Amino acid sequence: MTGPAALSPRILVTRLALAAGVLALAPPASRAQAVPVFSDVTAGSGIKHTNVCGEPGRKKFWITETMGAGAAWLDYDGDGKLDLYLVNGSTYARGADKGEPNQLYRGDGRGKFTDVTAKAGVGDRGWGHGVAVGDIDNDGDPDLYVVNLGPNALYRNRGDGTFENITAKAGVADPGWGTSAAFFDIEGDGDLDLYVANYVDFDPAKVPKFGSPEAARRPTCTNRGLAVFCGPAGLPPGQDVLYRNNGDGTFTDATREAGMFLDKPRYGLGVVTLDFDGDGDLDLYVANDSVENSLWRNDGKGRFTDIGVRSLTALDAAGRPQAGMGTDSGDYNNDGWIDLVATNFSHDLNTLYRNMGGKFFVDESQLVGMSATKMALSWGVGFQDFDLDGDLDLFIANGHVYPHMDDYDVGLYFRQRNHLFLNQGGRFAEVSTRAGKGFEVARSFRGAAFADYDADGDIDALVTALDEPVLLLRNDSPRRGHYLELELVGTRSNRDAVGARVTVTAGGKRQARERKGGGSYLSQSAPTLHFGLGAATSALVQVRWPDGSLQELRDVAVDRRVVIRQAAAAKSN
Amino acid sequence: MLFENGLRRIRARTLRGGSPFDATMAVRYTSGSKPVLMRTLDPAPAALLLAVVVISACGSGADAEPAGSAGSPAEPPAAAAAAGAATSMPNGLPEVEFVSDPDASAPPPEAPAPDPPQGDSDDDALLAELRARHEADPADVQALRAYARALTDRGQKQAVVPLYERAAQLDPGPRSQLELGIAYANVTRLAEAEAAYREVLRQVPNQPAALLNLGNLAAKRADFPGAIEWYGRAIESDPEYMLAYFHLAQMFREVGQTDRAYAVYLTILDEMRPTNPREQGIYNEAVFELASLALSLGQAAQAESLLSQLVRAAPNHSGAHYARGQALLQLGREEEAQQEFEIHMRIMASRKPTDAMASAPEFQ
Repeated sequence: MTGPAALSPRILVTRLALAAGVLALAPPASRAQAVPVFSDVTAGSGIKHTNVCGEPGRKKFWITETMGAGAAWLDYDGDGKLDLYLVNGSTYARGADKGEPNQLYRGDGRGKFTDVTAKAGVGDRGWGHGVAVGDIDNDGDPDLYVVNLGPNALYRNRGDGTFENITAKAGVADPGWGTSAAFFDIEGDGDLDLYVANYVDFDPAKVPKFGSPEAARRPTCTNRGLAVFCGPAGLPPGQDVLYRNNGDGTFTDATREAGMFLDKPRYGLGVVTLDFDGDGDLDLYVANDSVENSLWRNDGKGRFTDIGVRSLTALDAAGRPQAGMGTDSGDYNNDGWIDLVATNFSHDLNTLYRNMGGKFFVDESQLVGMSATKMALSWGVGFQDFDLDGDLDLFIANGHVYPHMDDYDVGLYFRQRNHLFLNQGGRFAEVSTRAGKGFEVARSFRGAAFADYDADGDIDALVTALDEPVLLLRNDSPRRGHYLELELVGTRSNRDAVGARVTVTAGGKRQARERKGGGSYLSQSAPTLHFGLGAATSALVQVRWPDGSLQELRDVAVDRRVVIRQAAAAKSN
Repeated sequence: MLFENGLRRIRARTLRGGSPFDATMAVRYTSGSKPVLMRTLDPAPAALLLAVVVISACGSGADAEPAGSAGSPAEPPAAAAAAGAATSMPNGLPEVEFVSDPDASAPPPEAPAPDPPQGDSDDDALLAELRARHEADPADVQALRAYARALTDRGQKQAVVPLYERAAQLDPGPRSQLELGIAYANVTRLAEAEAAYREVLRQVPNQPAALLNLGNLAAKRADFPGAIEWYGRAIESDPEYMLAYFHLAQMFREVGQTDRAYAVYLTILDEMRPTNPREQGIYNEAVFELASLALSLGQAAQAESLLSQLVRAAPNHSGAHYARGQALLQLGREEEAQQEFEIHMRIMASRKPTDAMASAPEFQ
C-alpha cells in the first residue's frame, strides 16, 4: 500500500493566514467611477495609413508577416504641436527595401494632420516595424530611428522641416530583424545612446512554411495543437544591440563592452527604460517573446547586468516564461517606485510587476485585476492617467497573430478589441465596454502611442493594426480633473531629459514620472510628462535631472503646458 | 463518498450565477478516515474567515499527522509505476495524457543543459522500434496505441490523429473513443472531440474521464461556467477523481472565485491521497497553488514552509523552486533565494520547446 503524499503540508497556520488573505482578493469596492470616453476620429483627421506586413490575412506563411508596425508622436518642426510618424512594412513579393513608405503627418494641434513625408524625406521603404525618437545631437529637434526587418535607418532632423538619412555615417544600420528601440543616456555623458531589440535571426529559406509537411512535424510550428506558422520557439533568436553615442554623429556598437551581449539571445520585442532602484541612472527592461524577460541594471557608468530572474521580472509568478510583447514603466500605486507591465500572448495574463522598494518586484497581476482579459493577445501598452484623477491607468492594444484562429471555436479571434483598465486605488477595473465607440473597433491591433495631440488636456491614443488602417482615439471625456503637462529641456543633461524624474505634489497626492526611452510596442509616446491632478488647482513640481541636479517649481498653475528648462546652477543631489 | 453533496451545491450555485457569498455552501468534509465534519461558508466574508478558522482548528489533528500515516489510500495500480504507461482510470478506462511532470521525483539537473536537441537518439530509437512494431501488424491496437503515445510525447499531435482514428475503427469501445477525443482536442478539432466524448458517455453513462474531458473542451472554448459544470459532474460520478477537483479549482480561479478555488485545493490536500504518480503530481500542484496563493498575499513564511516540503518531495518541480525563491527573497534570505532561482532556470533550460509560443498551460 502506498502511503499518502510524500509531503505533509502543515496547513493550520497557513490556512488561517490564507483565509484572511483570500478576503483581500475580493474585487475593489464598487464605486461610481466615471469612465473616459474615446471616439474613433481617424476618418476626419487626414491620416490615411494602412499597414502592410507581409501578405494580408490568410496568405501569411511566416512569423515575419504578423508583427505589425509602430507609431511615434513627436514635434518635428518645433511648433509646439504634435506630429505623427507611422511606420510601414513590406512583403516578400515586393522585397524588403521596396516596402510601403513610412509616413510623417504634421499636426495642427487641433486634430487635423497633413502628410509631409515627401518634403521631410522620411518615407523609409524598409520592412518597418519600430520607431524611436530622440535628439541625438542635442540641437533641439527630434531625430528618428526606424527599426526594420533588415537594415535600420537613422534620420537626423535638420531643423528646417527636413531630415537627412545618416545611417551609414552613424553606423547604426544593424541588419537584424529589429523591433523596438529606445534612446537613453547610458553613462550620463549628456548624449543619447540607443538600444535596439532584435527578434529572430530569420531566413525564410531555412524555416518551414506554414502548412508544409516539415512544419507539420515540428511542435514549434503548432500552438496549443493548432498548426501555425513556425516560431519564435525553435528559431534562432536575434541579438539585441546597444549603440553608444560618440557625440560626433557616430555611434559605436557597445553591446559586449556594456555587458549586454547574450550567449543565448532572447526574442526581443518591447523595450522601456526606468530607474527601478532609484539610484539616478536608467535601467532597461526588455519584453522577450516566449523566454525570460530582461531587466538590465545600469551601474551608472554604462555597464549592465541582467537581473531579470533575481528581480522577479523575467518570469510570471509561477516561474514560467511568457510571450512578452510590449512593456511600459510607471508608478501605478504612487509609492514613488517605478513599476512595470508586460503584455503577453492569449491564454495568459498581462503581467504587472510591482516594485518592492527598488529591491525586487512582485507579480501582482492576478491581485490587481489583470485576469479579466486573459483571452486577449496583447501588444502596445501605456501607463497613462486617462481620467485625470491622479493615478496611472492602463491602455492595452489587442489582436491575434493567427488569421485562421477565427475558424476554431476556441473563444479567440484574429481581430480583437482594445482594453482600458482604470486604476482604482492600486487595482484595475477593465472598463472598455463603457469607454465609447472607439473601444468597439476590433482589429488585429499592434502598436500604441499616447499623446494629448489636440491639446485639450487629456491623453489620446494612436493604435496601429496589422493589415488595416490605424485607429486614432480621441479622449472625449467630460473634464474630470485638472492636469499639468511638462516639457523638460535638458541643458547640462541630454536635451530630451530622458532619465529625468519628476515628482508632482498636488491635492495631497504625490506622483512620480520618468521621462522614458521606449515604451509600449514598436512605438513612442509624446515626449512630455502628463499629470492628472483631480481637483487640485496648483502643484509643486520637483525635477531630478539626469545629471542628478534638482530643480523645484512651487505653486505651478494647472491646466497648462509648462516648459521646464534645466537651470544653469541647479542644486546638485 | 467525498465532497459529493457539497460539489452538487457548488455547481448548482455556479450555474445560477451567484456570488461566492450569496448563500450558505455546505461541504461534506472528511479527513481521511476521521469523522465527517461540515464546513459552512457563510454569505458574509467575515463568516467565511470564521468558518475556515473553525474548521482548521477542528482538523488540526489530521493536519499534524505525517502525510504517510493519514487515511487509507488505495493500492496503486501496478501500471502506474511506469511513467507514461497507461494507468487505471475511473470505470477502468486508461489515461492517455500525463499532465504532470513525469520526472517529478528526479533530481534537478546539476548543470545548465545544452540547447534543446533536434532529436534525441534514445527517443529516436524507441520511436523507431514502436513504429516498426506498429507497421509489422497494423491491426494490433496495442502496438498502434504505443506508437501514438510516443508520437504524442514528442509533440506530434497532428500525426497521431489518424492513428487514433484507426484504433477507433479496430476497437470502437470507450477507451478508443476517449483517446480519439483527446487526440482531436489536442489539434483543436473540438466538434469531433466532443462527438467522441459523447460516444463514450453513450457507451458508459457518466464515465468520469469523458465528463472531465468535456470540461476541458469547454475551457478551450473559454466557456468557464460550462467547464465548472462538467468537472462537477465528473466529481459526482467519481468523488475521488483528483484531477477533476484540481481542474475545478483552476476553473474557479479563471472566473475569479478564488475562495472557492482555495476550498477545493484544500479538499485535495485534506481529503485525498495520491494512489499513483499522476495523482501525486496533481497533489503537488495543489500544494503549489496554495503556496502561490499565500505568496501573492504576502504570507512569505507560510508559503516557504509549504514549498520547502514540496521541493523535497518533487525536486524537479521548477515552479516550486521559483516560488520558494520568491518567498525567501521576501524573507530577506537572498542567497538561498538565488540558489532556488538557479535550480529553477536549470530545470527550465533542460526542457525542449513544445509549442510556438509560451503561454499558460492548457487543461488536459
